[in-house]
Amino acid sequence: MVFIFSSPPFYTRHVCLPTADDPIPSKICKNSKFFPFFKDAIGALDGSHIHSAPPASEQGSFRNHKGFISQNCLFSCSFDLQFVYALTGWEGSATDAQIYEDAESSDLDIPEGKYYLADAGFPLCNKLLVPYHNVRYHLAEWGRARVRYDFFCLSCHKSLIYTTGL
Amino acid sequence: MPEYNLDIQARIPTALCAIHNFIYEHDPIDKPPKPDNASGSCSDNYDTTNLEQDEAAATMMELEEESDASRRCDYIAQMMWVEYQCICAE
Repeated sequence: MVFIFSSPPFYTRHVCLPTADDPIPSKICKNSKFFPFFKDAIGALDGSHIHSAPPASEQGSFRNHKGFISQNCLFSCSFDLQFVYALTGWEGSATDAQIYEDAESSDLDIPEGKYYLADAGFPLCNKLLVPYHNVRYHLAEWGRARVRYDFFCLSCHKSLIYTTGL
Repeated sequence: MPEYNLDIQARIPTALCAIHNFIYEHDPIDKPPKPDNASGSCSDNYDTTNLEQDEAAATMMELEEESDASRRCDYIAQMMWVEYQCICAE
């Protein structure tokens, strides 16, 4: 059963990455707080630890920073709460950035000029939009624009958390 | 001893993703599905080939990309700042 659902044609029919020609998500178009600033955002991306039971010899590498034994999985979802990508099976001790690098070098295909929203655990690169590091927003007026920017990242991230049910 | 091997364990979340989308798609209030495209799957490939020889070039590219990306962050924040100023002026 698990093979049927996680293999083509069922899997590829229901979990597919957005293309460059897809229209701007309505969640962004219809909200003047988001449009036109985030018109190139196509979804959100985050890692999630899912419990697993590896053989005893491998349990060390599957223990994650939260203390339990897990596989670290990378998911991304669109703004209409559909999964568009999943990469599973990494050891729990792997970091989000490592898994992203693996995904990006294999089959996570992000159209030119588009990006996913991600949290600070991911690298700052052309295909991901991550929050500012080490900024104490309340200190500077300039910070307010950044707060709005980060607020957007956060609110979109909630949609991912909602989708993954965590 | 694990009851199932790791490959099967890794497939469980991906299978659930597909089922989640299937249910979501067939919800009457949901939009029609998007056209098919290349899609994700399980893979555990550790890409370590050519790492050493490309390292220097890759570091340069990473640095460039990083500054591109942070320019984009600043650009978006600046746009929002300008709009915020307009709202304040009204």
